[in-house]
Amino acid sequence: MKRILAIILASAISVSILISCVSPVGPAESASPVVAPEPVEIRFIGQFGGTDPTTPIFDEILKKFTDTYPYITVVNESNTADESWKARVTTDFSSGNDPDVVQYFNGPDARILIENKKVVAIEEIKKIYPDYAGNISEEAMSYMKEYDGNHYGVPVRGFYEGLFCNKDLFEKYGLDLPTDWEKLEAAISGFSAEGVVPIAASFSDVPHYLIEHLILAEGGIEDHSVNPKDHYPESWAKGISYFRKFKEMGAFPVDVNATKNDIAANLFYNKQAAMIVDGSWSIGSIKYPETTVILPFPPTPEGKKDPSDIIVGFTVGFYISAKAWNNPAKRDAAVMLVETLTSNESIAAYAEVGGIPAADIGPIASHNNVMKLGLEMSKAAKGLAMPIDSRLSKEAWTYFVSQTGSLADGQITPEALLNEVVKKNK
Amino acid sequence: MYFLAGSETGIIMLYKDKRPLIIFLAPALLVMGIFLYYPFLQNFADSFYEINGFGSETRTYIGIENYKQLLQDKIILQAIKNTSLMILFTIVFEIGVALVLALMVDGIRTGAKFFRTVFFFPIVISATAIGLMFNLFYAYNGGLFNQILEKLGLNPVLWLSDEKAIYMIALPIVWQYVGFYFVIILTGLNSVPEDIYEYAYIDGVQGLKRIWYITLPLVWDVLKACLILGITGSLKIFDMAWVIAPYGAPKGITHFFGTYLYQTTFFSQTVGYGSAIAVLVVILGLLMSFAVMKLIRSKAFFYSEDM
Repeated sequence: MKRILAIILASAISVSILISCVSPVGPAESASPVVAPEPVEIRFIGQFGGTDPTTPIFDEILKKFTDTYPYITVVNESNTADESWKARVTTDFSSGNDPDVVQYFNGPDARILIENKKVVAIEEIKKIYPDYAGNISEEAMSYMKEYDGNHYGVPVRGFYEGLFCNKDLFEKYGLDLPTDWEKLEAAISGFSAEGVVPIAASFSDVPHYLIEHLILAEGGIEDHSVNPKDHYPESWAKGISYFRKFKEMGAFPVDVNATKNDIAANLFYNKQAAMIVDGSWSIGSIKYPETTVILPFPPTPEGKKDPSDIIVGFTVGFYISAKAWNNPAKRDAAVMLVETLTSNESIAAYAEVGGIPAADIGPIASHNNVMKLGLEMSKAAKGLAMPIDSRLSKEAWTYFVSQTGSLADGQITPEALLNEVVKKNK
Repeated sequence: MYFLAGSETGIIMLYKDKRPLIIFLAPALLVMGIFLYYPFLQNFADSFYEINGFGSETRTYIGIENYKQLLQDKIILQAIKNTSLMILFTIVFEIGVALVLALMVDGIRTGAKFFRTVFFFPIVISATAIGLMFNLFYAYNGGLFNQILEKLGLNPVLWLSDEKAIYMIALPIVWQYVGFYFVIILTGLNSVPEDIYEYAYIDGVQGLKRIWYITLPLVWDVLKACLILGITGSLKIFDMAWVIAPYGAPKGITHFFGTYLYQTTFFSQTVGYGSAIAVLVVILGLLMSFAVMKLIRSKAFFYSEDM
């Protein structure tokens, strides 16, 4: 046996020597052989595109990545995320046109991808790449836990929602900031009388945040967190009944039933409206951050909400598709891309636009007044709730949203609306 | 009749051997089969299932439940009303105005090219861009229309109120498509030989009489095609209506089939029900096209060199 092994080894050495003698050896090749990696193309679909204020920061990070790894080409198909964008992503996955890396929502949105084994669990990735997502805080990761107990998306930035106020308008008209319900109603009446839009809103486009906050203001964290499968909490009906009361008080723009969200938001940014209920993602669009403040939405007079309770969450993460993971040529590149996009350095860069960083990156020097106030508000909150649409079925939530105008005009009662929501919330 | 130059025998020979016809027709049939007929049949099959989630691979067979829901859906009724109104607007304002403009442009010698370009121009602008533009026109606070009213010392108007919204959505759609029908009708008018008008002139037929007794009968088939295009087009209204008034704003009263189908499929993610709406739209489209063809029998006159 030893003799056979010796013969094989001797033959191998002889053949190697022979080849090295025959092959022309140039000066460049005398150095240790470095195998150039094969070119890889990664198809990426994300949300930091289009009009998203993080787009330039993201593009810069992506450029640095492709400069560092010139053999990796990233086909970036990012765009501003809306329902059409979501449908495009799910269609790509269902039609076999899976992207390699996707920045997508968690919860009910991700469930369809997880059920069909279209994305890979972080737990699976960590078996081969132990440092993957290791920098992400436990709190941020806890929001990404899916129905099967696994985590799939790597979050980079969380959000908070609150009542944004143009402080200078309150000062100009001698009104108190809406730190409680009485002051909120006084502000609505006061601004309405002065011809200033009290609350910028669009019922036809994005009334989501008002719905959530009115329910939270009346029902508190406990009722707000209910997923109404069989019945809805009474506080939900009481909470959304304020739509009608507010409309009668002249709280909203005259064209609230038909205007678009961006047009309504511009009323606030241009100081034509005093308040807006919105999220941290919108801070980048605020033109005058020094005169803008953010407050938790106040509890109703009989509301169970603690004044500090707010709606927060990490609802978006970077996913690696099963298609890329199972492709040996792409796996490394996909992991490296996600690691770069979710590194502490990248998270710090995204945080410059606002929101809650998903990793411990320390204070952010470039934060403006509203961003600082927002982070303070989220740290001071005693109770945190995820948005209602993270629990309701799409059919139920779309119906809820589409009925806001009718609710505010008294054409449908809160009870009738919520009964239908429960029926559609399969 | 004007006949194509060439021998009849040659044409007969060409049609005797069917193989070239089949070979040349096959690619088009294949493309239509893949991108039209197969998706439609799949959509028809989907309409009998409950499919929650776009791209969902799990589905439950529910028979005709989606169609039963269609019959009870108030928004479908609203969409039928809005679509009927839009068909009326299409016939009166799109095709009617286009016909008037085409007759006028056909009657002038200088500047015809300029008017043709100007009237056709809106059709080359994307519907989304026009929709966004009209959004800014209709805005209550600072919108163009209200700024003009304010300059004139008048009170601002809520353009997208419950009563006015459907007309405000129809306005840019009509404005955009007038040019489309204008070009089709003008092409029809241009194909009418000048000598027929000359004979008519000799017989003393001029002005409105000429239009009524000569021009319209000769372009009747073109007008019929415009009507079919307009009516079926009204059933497919989507992009501009959605951009101006998403979710059938205000309060779902401006929904068309297209906007409701989109909301149902992509937002509510009730794909099976959305498929049932799509089937309804196709059936209505076919029925209306047949009805137009039956009701407006061909009144076209043929002209011959041997006249």
